[in-house]
Amino acid sequence: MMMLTAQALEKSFTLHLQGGAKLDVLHNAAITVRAGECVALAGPSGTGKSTLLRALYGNYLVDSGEILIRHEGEMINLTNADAQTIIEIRSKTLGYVSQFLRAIPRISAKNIVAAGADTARAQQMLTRLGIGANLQNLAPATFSGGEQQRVNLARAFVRHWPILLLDEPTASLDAANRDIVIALINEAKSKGSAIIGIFHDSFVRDAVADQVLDLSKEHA
Amino acid sequence: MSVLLRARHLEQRFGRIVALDDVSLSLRRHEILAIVGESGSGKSTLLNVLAGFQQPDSGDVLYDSGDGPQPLATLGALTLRKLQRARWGFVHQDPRRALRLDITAGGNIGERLMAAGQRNYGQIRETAARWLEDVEIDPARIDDLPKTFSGGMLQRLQIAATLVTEPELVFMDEPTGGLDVSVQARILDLIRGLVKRLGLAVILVTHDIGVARLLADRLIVMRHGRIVETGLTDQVLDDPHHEYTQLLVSSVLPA
Repeated sequence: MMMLTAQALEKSFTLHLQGGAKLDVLHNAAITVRAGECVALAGPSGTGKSTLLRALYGNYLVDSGEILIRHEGEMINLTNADAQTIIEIRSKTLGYVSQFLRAIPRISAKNIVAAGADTARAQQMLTRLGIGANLQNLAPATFSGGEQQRVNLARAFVRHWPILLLDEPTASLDAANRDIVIALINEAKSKGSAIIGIFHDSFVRDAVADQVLDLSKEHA
Repeated sequence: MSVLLRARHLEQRFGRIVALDDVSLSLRRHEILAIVGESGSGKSTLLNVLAGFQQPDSGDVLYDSGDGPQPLATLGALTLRKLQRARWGFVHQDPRRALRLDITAGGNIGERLMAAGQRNYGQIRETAARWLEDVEIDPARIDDLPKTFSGGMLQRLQIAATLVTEPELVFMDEPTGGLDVSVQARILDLIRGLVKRLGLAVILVTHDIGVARLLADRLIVMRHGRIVETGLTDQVLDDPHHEYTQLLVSSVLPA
């Protein structure tokens, strides 16, 4: 079942503070992902992988094109959906794991993760990702980069997402944690999640991706 | 979700200064909308007009109390006052403007409840104590005068006194404006939790982009009395289109 399909995406940035310089990042970009499938975005840096991922989340506004998302049985075009619809889609259908955790003052790792599930599952998931009980009750502002990333991942993987976008989910992880994330991604796929990710680590990419979309070739 | 409040083509001038220039917006139930912009952008004027404290030169504000949208201007002073007191709340930057410093902390909270029609003293006191706890003030201080409180505590007391009647819409004008950064985080976190728990709709004026990012679903950027950009909070802040929004976002020093 097709979960997300985007066509003819154009995205440029006009930098008004830098003399109005215009950066054309996405040109005629397209992507489709089905339930239970993982598409890896590839290409050298600067080809628009992160831009595409953010556009698919509604975090960047595309100049034109169409992003259809299956939300509660209906295909909804994200590019002309109002704010309320996008918030609704993000709360039920579309998950996103950014590279960095935006730590909220005073909220513990456990409660950040439990926002999407119950506390027991949150604790389990954190433990699985190597965040021990001693850290779970602390706010992650003082955690290391790798620990913060794992909190971020736990928050996403603690629940089922019909569509999940992953921006370098293993960038600051050691080999053991990387293998856990690979297992989590594959489990999510087997439960039907459609996944789009950026994986610089080719080991991870080979372990999870069914399809590789090379954006540098798309441009040509 | 239904539209709670709508503003249409608001115009406001103070002499030669244009404070509001064709401002239109809408707010849904349970939605948190932040209005950002620098001093003099018209955001506080806008808040005062939306909250019915000030009449615009032209344009109107409509509110839906459940019987369909009605222009504030047609409500009459008494009905408007009732709406402001019973179903709305207003959190000022300076809590001293909203609180009475010569009556106790509990009295400040209880007064709102009595205005809303509660008469049972025991219950009022109990509710006040519970709200002090909710805003992290030791309930043992219920009989203390607010003048013995720190700035952060005063702000938390104002929040308790505003939310105790469980309004459906709360206007906030720079709620963390005059506070130390360490105190700000606590207040923001508190507001975030309470707004979620009570399902409030909020219109929040702030010049602090971090505050907007933490609290708001949607963002309006104002400059010289005009709305220059609007959208989902993270979209406007991460992919700002207007020159002025790009300036606002790029002017923040990374922590």
